[in-house]
Amino acid sequence: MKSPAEETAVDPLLVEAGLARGALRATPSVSFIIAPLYVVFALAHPFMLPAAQARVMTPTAAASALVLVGLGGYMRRGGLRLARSAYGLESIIAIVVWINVTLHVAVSRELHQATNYALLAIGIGALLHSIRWYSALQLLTVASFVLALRTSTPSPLATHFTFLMVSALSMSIAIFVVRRLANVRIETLRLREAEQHRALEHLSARLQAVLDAMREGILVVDPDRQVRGTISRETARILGDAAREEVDVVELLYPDDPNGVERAAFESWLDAVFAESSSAWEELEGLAPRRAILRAGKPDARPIALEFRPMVESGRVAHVVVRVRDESDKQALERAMRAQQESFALRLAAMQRLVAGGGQAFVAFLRAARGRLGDARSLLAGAPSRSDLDEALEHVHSLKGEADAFELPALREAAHALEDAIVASRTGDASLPTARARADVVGQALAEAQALLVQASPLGDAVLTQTTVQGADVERLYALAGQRKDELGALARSMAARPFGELVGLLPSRIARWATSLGKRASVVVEGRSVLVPPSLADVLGSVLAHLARNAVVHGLELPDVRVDAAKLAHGRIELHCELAETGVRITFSDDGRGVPDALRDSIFAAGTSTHAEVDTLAGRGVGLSAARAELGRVGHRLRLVDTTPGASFVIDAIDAIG
Amino acid sequence: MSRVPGHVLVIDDQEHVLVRVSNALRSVGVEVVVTSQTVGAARFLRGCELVLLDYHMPGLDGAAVLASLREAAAKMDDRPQFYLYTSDSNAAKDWQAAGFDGILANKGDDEHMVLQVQAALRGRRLRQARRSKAPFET
Repeated sequence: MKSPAEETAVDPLLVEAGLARGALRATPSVSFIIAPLYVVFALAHPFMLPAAQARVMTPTAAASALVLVGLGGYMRRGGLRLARSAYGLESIIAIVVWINVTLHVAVSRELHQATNYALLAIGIGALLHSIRWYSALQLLTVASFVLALRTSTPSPLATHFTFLMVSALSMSIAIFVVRRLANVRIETLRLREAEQHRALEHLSARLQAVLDAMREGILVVDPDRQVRGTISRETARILGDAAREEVDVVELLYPDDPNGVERAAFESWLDAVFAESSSAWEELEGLAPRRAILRAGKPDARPIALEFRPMVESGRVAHVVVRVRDESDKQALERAMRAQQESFALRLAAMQRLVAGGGQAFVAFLRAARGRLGDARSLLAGAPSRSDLDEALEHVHSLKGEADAFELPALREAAHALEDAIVASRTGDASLPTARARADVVGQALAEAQALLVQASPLGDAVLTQTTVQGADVERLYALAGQRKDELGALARSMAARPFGELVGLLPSRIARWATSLGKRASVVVEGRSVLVPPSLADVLGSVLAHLARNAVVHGLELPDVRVDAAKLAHGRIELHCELAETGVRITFSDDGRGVPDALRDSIFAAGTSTHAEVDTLAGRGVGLSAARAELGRVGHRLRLVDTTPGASFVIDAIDAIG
Repeated sequence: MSRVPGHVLVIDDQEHVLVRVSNALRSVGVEVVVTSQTVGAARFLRGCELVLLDYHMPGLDGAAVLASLREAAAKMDDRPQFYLYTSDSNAAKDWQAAGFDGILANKGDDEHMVLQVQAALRGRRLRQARRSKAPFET
C-alpha cells in the first residue's frame, strides 16, 4: 500500500474537468426535480396570491417549469454535453429560481418574500461545483436580498430576516466547501484509479507481447489447479482453444484419459505442491512430469516438454508457473535422423560383412545380376512372346532371390515390382512400358548397391576388379619377372602391387583413437584407394604412414578450443592422397594443424628433432620422421616436407627404377 | 527426457514387446526385468516397484498369474503396483475388476509407455512420501 506522499500526482485541470462532467450528469436530474415544484406554483398562484401578483407569478412559474423540463430533457438526449458549459447550465437552474424570487419580491413589496433568497442561497451551495459560479450567484442573491430590504415595505422582522439570510449564507458556504472537497477527493481517486488501470493495461499488453514473442507457452496455476492470467499466443497454439483462464490445468494437459496414470500422478503432485511448505519444492520438483503427449496415440499427437516454477508467498507455494514447449518438430527431426542413420548403418554393416570375406562373392553377384537384368531387358524389348516373358521373369526372380540373400531390400523390392509388371504383361501389352520402366529402377538399385560396396571397401573401386590368387605365386612371379621392362614385367609388378586403400587399412580409426586420447578430434580423408602401390613401397608404407599420423596428431593438430580460437573447425583434418605421378606413385600426407616451425624445417628429418617437450606413448623422442625417411630410403623412395598453409604436408615419392 | 529411476518387471508373451519395452525404459534410466514365463515370475518381484502385465496372453490364465503375483507380493514390505498393459480394448475396460492398480494406454506406443511408467513411479513416490508423515520438509 502506498503512502499518500507516494501517491501519483493528479493534474488539477483534470480534476476540474471531472467535476464539470459531474455537473453535466447532475443538472438534468436537478432540473427534473425542481420543475414539478414550479408546476405546482403555477397551479397554486392564482388561488393563493392576490390577483395582481398572480398575473405575473403564474406565467413566470409555468415558464420556469418549461425551461427546467426543456433543459433537463435536452441534456438527457445528449445535447449540451460540453464540459466547458457545465457550470453555466447548472447555473440556469439557480437563475430560474432567482427570477421567481426576485419577481415575487418586486410585485409584492413584502419583505418576508425575500426569505426565499435564503433558500436560494442554500440551494446554490448544494447545487454548484464551481467556485467562480458559486461566488457570482451567491453575490447576486445577497445583493438582491439587500435591495429587497431597501425597497420593500418596512417590516419589524427585517433584522430577523437579515440574520436568517446570514445563517443561510453560512450554511451554504459550509455545504459548498464540504461538497467540493469531497467531490475533488472522489474525482482525484477516480482519476488515479483510471491512471493505474491504464498503466496496468499497458503492462498487461507488454506482458502479452513478451509472452507472445516467447517460443514457449506460459501458464500460471493457482491452488485450485485453475489457470490464471494471460494466455500467450504460443500457449494457445500448443494447447489449443481449451487454453483459457479458469480452466483446470490437469484437464488442459491430460484431456484424453480421465483415468490415466499420468493425469493421476500430476493431480497428486499439484496437491502435494500446494499442501506442503515451499521448502519441499526442491524435492517435489523432481517428481513433476517433464514431458507429456497431447492426443497420445492419435495421428496428430503432440509431444510437449514441461517445466515448473513456484511462486512463493508466506512460505507456501501460492502459484505454479508452467512452461510448455512444443517438441513436435524436434522429435520428428530426431526420428527422421535416427531412421536414416539406422538404415544407413544397417546397409553399411551388411556390406562390410560381405567385404570382410573379400567382397568377391558380392562382386560376382553384381556382375551376374547386371547380366540377368540385361537379358531381361532384351527380352522385354520390342514385342516379347509369352516364352520371352517367362524367361525374363526367371531372370528377375533369380535376381530377387540373390538380392534377398545379400540383404539388399531396395533391390529386392525393385525386382519384385518388376516381376509383378512382367506377370501382368502376360495378359496384355499394356504393362510392358511399366515393366521396362521398372527394369530401369532395378538398374538404379544395382548401381546403388555397387556404390555402397565401393564405400564400404578399403580398396575403393579396386574391389570391383580384384580376384584371389596365391601370395606365394605372386612373389615368385615378381621375383622372376619383376625387373623386366616388357609387358610381362609390368604385369608382374602390377600383380605384386597393393591398392593404396588396402595399405591404409585401419589407419583412420587409429588416428581418431590417438586424437581422442589426447583430448583432440580428428577426421581422416583417404583419396586414391584403388591406386596400386609398388611392392617395395607397400612393404614399408604402413609403418611410414603410422609415423606421420602420430606426428600429425601429437604435434600438428591443436586442441579443439585452440583451433576454434584460431578460426578453425574443432575437428582436425588429415588427408591421405595417392596418385600416379610422372615419376611413379606419389602419396601426400597432410594435416591442417599448426604446421612445422620455421626453425625446424631444415632439421625435421634429423634424429632427435621433436616439437614435443615430453616423451609419451605416441611421440616425443624425435625419431619418427627420421626413421620413416630412412626406411623409405632403404628401398629407394623419398620423403619430403612441402609448404602448406595451414598445417604440414609430407610427400612420399615412389621412384619407379624400372620405368 | 527426464530420468525417473525405478525398477520395473514386464511380463508379456511376445518377445518383441519385451525387447522394445525394456529398451525404451532403460534409455530413461529405469531398471527393467522382462520375462515371457509366467511360471516363477514371482521371483523377479524383489525390489520391484511396478509390474506391467498383459492380462490376456493367449493360452494363459491372466487372473491366475495376477493372483499368484499378488500373493507373492503380499509378503513383501514394499509391495509393487500391478499395471495392465494390453492392446485388448475389452480387457482394458475391466482393469479395476481384474484387480490391477492401474492401466497403461496405447500399447505399442513406446514413447507414451515410458511417460506413463514414469508417472506411475512418480505417483508411487508421492504416495509413499505422504504415508511417511514428514513428507518433503527439507
